[in-house]
Amino acid sequence: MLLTLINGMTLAALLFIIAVGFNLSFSLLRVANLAHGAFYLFGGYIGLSMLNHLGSWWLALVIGGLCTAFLAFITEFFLLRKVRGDNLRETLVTLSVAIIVADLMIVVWGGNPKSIPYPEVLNGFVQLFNVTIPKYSVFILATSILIGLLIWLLLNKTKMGMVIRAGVDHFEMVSVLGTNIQRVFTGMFVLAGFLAGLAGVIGGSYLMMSPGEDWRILTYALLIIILGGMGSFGGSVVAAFIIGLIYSFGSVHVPEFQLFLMFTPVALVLIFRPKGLFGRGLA
Amino acid sequence: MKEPLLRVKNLNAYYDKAHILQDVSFEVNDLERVTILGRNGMGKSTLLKSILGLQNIRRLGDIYFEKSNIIEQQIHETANLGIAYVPQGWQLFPSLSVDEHLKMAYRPDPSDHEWTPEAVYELFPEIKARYKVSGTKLSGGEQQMLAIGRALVRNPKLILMDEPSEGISTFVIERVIEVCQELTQRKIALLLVEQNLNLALRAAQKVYILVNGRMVHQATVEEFKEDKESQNKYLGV
Ligand SMILES: Nc1ncnc2c1ncn2[C@@H]1O[C@H](COP(=O)(O)OP(=O)(O)OP(=O)(O)O)[C@@H](O)[C@H]1O
Ligand SMILES: [Mg+2]
Repeated sequence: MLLTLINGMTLAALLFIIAVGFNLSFSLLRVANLAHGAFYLFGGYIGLSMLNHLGSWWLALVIGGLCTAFLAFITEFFLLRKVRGDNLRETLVTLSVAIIVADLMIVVWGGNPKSIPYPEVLNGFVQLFNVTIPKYSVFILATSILIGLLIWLLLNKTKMGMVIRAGVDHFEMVSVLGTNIQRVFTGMFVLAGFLAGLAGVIGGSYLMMSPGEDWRILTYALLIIILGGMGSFGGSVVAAFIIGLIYSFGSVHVPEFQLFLMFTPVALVLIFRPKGLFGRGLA
Repeated sequence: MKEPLLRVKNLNAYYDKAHILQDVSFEVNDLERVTILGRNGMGKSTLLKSILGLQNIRRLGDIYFEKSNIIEQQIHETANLGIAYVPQGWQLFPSLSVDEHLKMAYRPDPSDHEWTPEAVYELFPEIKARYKVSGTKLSGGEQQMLAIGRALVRNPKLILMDEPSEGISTFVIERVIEVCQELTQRKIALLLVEQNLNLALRAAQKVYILVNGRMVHQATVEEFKEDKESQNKYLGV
C-alpha cells in the first residue's frame, strides 16, 4: 500500500516534469507537440550514451536535456515556424518529427529495452518518518518540486512570466506591446524540450526505454493537459498526481483495467468540465 | 512642409477574399488628434488593425510612420516605433492583474512628459484601488481606463483608439474625452475611430468619414460641427 503510494507519487513527479513545459508550450503556441514523447525518449537515449562515454550520470542528465532542447529548437525554428497559424500543418509537422525521430532512435539504439543505471549516491533507501523509501524516488520528487518551483517563479515573479501568461491569453496583443512573440514561442518550446530531455534521463533510470515508450509518455502528457486544463500550472500538478496514482494503484490492484481507469477521469472531465479541472480555456 | 507623423496612402485591406478597405488615404500630423467616423461595419476597426498588421489582414498600399514604410513590418516592430493601441473591447489579459498589465506594457522614456504606471494610477485612481484584480474582472469603465493606461505607459508617439465609447457610462466617456484632449500636451498624437459624434468631435481636431471601406469626406472639427447635412448623410444623426 505504502510502496504503491510512493511509486505513484514518483511516477506523478516524473509526469509533472514531462507535462508542465508541454502544457505551457501547447497553450502558448496552440500546437500539441506530438513529438514530445519522442523528445523524452531521445533525451533518455542520449543520456544512456553519454553515461557510457563520460561515466557521469549527472553530466549525462544535463547533456540529455541540452541535446533535446537543441532538437526542439530545430523543430520550432526550421519547421514549425514555417507553417505557423495553419493548425493542421503544425500538427502534421510535429507528428512527422515524432515518427522520424522514433525511427532514427531504433537505428541508433536498437529495439531492445534499455535502462540507465542509477548513479551510486541514488542507490539504496532512506528512512523518512519510519518509512523506507528508495533514494531514487526521493530524488525524482525533489527534482520535480525544484523544477515546479522554478517555473512557478518564472511565471509569477518575472516580466517574462507576465509575457508568457499574457501570450497564452492573447498573443497578438502581446506583440502590440512591443514583444517579439515569435521568440517567446521558440523559448517556450525549447524549455519544454529541455524538460522532456531531463525527464527522459531521469525516467530512463526509473522506467525502461524502448520503442513505443515515446507514444505512451505522449499519451500520459496529453491526458494530463486535458485533465488539468490547458495552460494551467496548478492543473498540471494535480493532474500529474491523479494520473500517477491511478497508474500505480491500478497496476497493483486491477492491472487489467489500468488504462480504463486512467481514461475514465479524463472522459468525465471532457464531459462535465471540457476546459479541464483548472483550465479557463482559450479565446 | 513637415512630413506627417502617419501617412496612409491607398491602403487596401482584405480578410481572405473580402475586400474591406478600398484605397484609403489619410494623414495624422505630429501631436494632432484625428478621428475617423463611420457607422457599424464600415471598416473602422479593420483600419486600425491594418496599420498594426493584426489578424493576418492582407494589406496593400503604403503606411508611412515618420518616413519609414511600416506595411512590411512585424507587429512588435511597428509597436516599438511608437504606436500604441487601445482595442475595441479592450482585449485585456485575464491572467494578468491590473498592476501587471501596466508593468508589462511599461516602456520607460527619459523625458519630462513620461507616463509611468504611477502616473496612470494618478489619472485613474479607480483602477489603483483594484491593482491586484485580474484585468478582465473589472467593470467596463475600469477596463477602458486600464486599456488606455496600458497604451499610455508605452510612451508612444501615436495612440490608435478603437470606439472607446462602447460599453462604458457617460461619466467614463467624459473622462476619456479629457484624457484625449490632454494627449497633445503630453506629446502624443491620437487616431480615434468612433461612431459617437459627441466624443469624437470633442476629442479630435480633424475628421474623416469612412463609408463601406472608403474615405468619403474630410473636414476640421469646427467645419463638421456646423455641417448638419454631412452628419446626417454619413452618420444618420
Ligand atoms: N475577421 C474577419 N473576417 C472576415 N470579415 C470580417 C472580419 N472582421 C470584420 N469583418 C468584416 O469587415 C467589415 C468591417 O468590419 P470592422 O470591424 O472593421 O467594422 P467597424 O467599422 O469597426 O464596425 P463596428 O462599429 O461594429 O466596430 C465588416 O463587414 C465585417 O463583417
Ligand atoms: Mg469596430
